Amino acid sequence: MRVLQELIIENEQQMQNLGQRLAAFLSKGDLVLLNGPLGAGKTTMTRGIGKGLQASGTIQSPTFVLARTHQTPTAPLVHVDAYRLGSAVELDDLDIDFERSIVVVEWPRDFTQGLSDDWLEIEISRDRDSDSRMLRIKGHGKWQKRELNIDPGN
Amino acid sequence: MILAIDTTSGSSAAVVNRGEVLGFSGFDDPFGHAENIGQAIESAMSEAKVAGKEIEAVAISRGPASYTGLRVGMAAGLAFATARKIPLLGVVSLDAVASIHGAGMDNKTWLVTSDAKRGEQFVGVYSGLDGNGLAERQEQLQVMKPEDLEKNYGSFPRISELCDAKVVGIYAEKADAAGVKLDDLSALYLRSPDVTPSSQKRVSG
Amino acid sequence: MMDIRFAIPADYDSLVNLEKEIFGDQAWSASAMVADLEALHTQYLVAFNGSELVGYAGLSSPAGSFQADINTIAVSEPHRGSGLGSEFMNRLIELATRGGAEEMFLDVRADNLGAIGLYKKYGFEHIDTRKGYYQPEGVDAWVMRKTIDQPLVLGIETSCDETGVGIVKGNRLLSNALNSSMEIHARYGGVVPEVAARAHLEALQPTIDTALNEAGIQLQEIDAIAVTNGPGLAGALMVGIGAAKGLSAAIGKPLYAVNHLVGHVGADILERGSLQTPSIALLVSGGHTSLLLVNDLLDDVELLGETIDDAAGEAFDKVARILGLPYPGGPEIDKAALGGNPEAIRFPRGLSLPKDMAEHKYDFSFSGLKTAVARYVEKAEDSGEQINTSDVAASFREAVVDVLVTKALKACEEYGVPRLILGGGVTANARLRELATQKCSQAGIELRIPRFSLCTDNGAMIASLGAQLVMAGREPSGNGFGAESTMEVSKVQSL
Repeated sequence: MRVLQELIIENEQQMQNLGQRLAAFLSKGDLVLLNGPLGAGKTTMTRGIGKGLQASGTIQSPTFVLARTHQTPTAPLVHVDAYRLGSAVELDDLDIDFERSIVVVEWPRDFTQGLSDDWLEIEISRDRDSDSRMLRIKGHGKWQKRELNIDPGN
Repeated sequence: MILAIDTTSGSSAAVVNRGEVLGFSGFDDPFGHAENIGQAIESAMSEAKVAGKEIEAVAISRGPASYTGLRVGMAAGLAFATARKIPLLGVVSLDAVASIHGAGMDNKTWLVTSDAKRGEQFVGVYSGLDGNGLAERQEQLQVMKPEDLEKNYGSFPRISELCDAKVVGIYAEKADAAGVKLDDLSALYLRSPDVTPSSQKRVSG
Repeated sequence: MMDIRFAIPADYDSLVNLEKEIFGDQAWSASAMVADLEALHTQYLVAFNGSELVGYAGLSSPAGSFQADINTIAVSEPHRGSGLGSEFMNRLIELATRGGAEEMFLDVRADNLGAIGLYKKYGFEHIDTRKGYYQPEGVDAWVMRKTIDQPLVLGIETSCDETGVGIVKGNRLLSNALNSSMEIHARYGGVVPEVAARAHLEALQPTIDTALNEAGIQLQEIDAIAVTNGPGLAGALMVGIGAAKGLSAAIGKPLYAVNHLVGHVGADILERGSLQTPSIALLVSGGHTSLLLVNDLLDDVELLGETIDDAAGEAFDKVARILGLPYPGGPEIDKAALGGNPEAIRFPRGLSLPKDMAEHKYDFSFSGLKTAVARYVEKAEDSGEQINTSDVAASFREAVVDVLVTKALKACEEYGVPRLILGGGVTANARLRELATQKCSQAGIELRIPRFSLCTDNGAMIASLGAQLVMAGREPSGNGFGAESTMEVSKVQSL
């Protein structure tokens, strides 16, 4: 594992921008895990990723429905929320075509081990006193060799 | 007259009567089960020139296989049987493949394997065909990593033909006629509860 | 060339005149005529030859009566025998059928053999006589009736956690079976809800059997099968789709693959016997929060706005978590809010600021609200203060309900639509119903909230939507459709 980038995000727009610019690095077979507490901005980031990938449909929280697939010009974007899953078996149950899709998982916990040898993990922590978020982007497997220096803009 | 449905890899349906396949339709796509199952059933029945009311039993493949696809075939079979009020027979795919493709194996021990994704294999270990032509399975079905498969069963011959509705139908008819109980209709979810890469996991089958 | 369409106010004068011309002394007065033209449950067709009105026909179908009455069919003298009468009959029967009528009635003079002949040709039977009804001649009136056999449709719904199978006959609800780990109160204490596809497979047969038993019919009697193919969880949807295709192959009946959200709007048809359009529909559940403009259930459903992050039901679940309340969030927040002051804390109403109006006028966002509650709780914890959970719960709930009702009513106003339908599991929330009732009443908007079993995800609403398609003569869906986890609300049926 290698930390690819650490940055502070000041507001929602920046979080979305980050996601949008991150999308440029994503292609078929990629897996992104988003770790962070309630309200951290995981869905906002995914919305940005969706925008960057030109995904169809509105990116909404998949907590209730578990997974939502959005078509994009490149590969389907599968947006998963593992919060309601009781075990890795239930994640398997979703039968996601990891090889042919770009998969973003919120609340991965330890269910996602073995899903892939290469993935991007983004830890988001919220500052108690302000709106800022601290992000740590970690690369696993082949991602360790990538360079990321995304500017979240304004 | 049996309608057999299998969605363990692609999607297929077959109409089988007295060991003969009267109609068959299969789609290889491992992802289009919901899209294809209707057409598969319809085409198989049409080729066999039978209408719904002539079907006497439905045989469905219970897996092991990847979940969502497997459930499509099981749901279709279950619904068909409910609609016609006919028996539903649950078939373990590896047992069916072993019985139909294991003809030349005599009393040796052999394996039937199929893709369990994540690089793993579903494995059934068989040791001969009984008087009814049904393969005798030793042990429970397992899911194994290639290294473990090599280590434990590397020396045994291996059959890896894909299961399909023809095989399911012929097997179901034979087994049912031989008095084998095929009333377990649960889907075989052979996934080990945790997926940490370690030793082989023995799970129930 | 004859141009037949629905009557509009500009036609009224011509209609009154032609009525006098054709019926002489028996003609309706101008005021009676216009009253009928304007009546809520009456539809008038008019036929024009160029700019000349040459005929008209009126049908009256009170909501929920399952009956339609032909008020009149009138063709001007020079155009009789041209087939216009028959054409009107066809259209009226089509309208009545589409509206869910099981019986059509008309009155005719016993001496009008030509008309009687026409009506008999269309399946009307003489069922009653009013002696001496037409004065001063003392001619009898014949009451004639045509029965319409509405389609028997079975609907399957497996878009998320519920397995629903329902049966309808036209607009009439026959049964609604739900396999629910979803009975809201039964889930009290449940940790993680039983998830989707595996449960659906196990629930399928018992739910189908329950639906058939409750409706008192055999599967072979079904005319068509409707199934949700989106939006929702793909794996769960696929179980319903597989089952529907299996049923279809077994009984040789056609399939209609329909949109889950539009199904929720169709639920109101089962509640009142018909759907009044146009209508605004607010659908609020754990998985959806959408505001729709429904001009025509089958052909013109528009998404005005939806959530851009959490669904309202999800927001309840998540805030319940924050407040340390158990699952499910809705009822738990309601319980906690008892005695609480909804004005105690002014939590944000998402996407309600002037700057949001340009792009998100009818969209919803509950994520900021969720964070605000979390903040509030954290700050209190940090400073060692005890929070008044009742006040927080009540204030949070008020923020959700306020923005839902406000936007819905704004849409009613902007689009000039005097009707609002609520749907989805969150309609169980009493405060939502209370505020919606209050605000709609103030604004003169008719509020429709179907009974809860039709509001939550269910198979009957899917059967209802399927029935509407059959009644409108739409082609079935073929058998190649698959599951679509995201689906435009304008895509009512997948072919």
